[in-house]
Amino acid sequence: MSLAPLTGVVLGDQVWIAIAIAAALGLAASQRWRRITSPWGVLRWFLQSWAGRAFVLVAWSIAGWHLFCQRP
Amino acid sequence: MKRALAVGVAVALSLLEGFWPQQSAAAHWSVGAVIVLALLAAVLAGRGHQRSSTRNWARSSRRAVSHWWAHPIRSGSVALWVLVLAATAGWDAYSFSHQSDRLPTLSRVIGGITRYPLGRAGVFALWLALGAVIVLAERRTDP
Repeated sequence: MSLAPLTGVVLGDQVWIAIAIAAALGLAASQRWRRITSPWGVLRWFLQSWAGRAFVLVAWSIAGWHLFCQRP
Repeated sequence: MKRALAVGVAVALSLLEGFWPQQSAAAHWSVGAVIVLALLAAVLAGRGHQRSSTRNWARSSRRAVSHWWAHPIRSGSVALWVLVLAATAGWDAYSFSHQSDRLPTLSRVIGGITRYPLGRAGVFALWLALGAVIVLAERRTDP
């Protein structure tokens, strides 16, 4: 069922909201229970080696260029 | 003192970026300069200070995946983050392929914030902070 006529929230927005809620719940759980890996834990794992750091750095560069230079 | 100076420069740069017209050459050059500086800084700060070699990192990661049952909570939570990332990338690609107003891409959602100068400055500051973490974090401090 679409809520767009009432709220202006289209189908794609609903999916993005669901993904954001899942990420927020995961983040909250990782803060509450330390045994659960947080996004920072995943990032730290990437940063341990040159290859992982280079991969994240390239992704960060592309994201920045796209968001601040390409997006109309 | 050094840290306060770095934060001050980052805030000033973010405000400049936010209030420059989005399609101006200055706004584009500043983003390009930040990217080049970050790549250079990562190489300079990283020489001899990387915690692990790529080969050892790949080997230990492979071992952790093949022995996932040894740490079920950690493995499950990593799988959750992989799923969230895959859902984000997958839905973004699906939305992009359809080019429909009903399926906004992630950059279009973020564009709802970056179209305003202060929103753009805030997102730019977050991007800078993430870049600083990627360049500087997890360094070996012993010589």
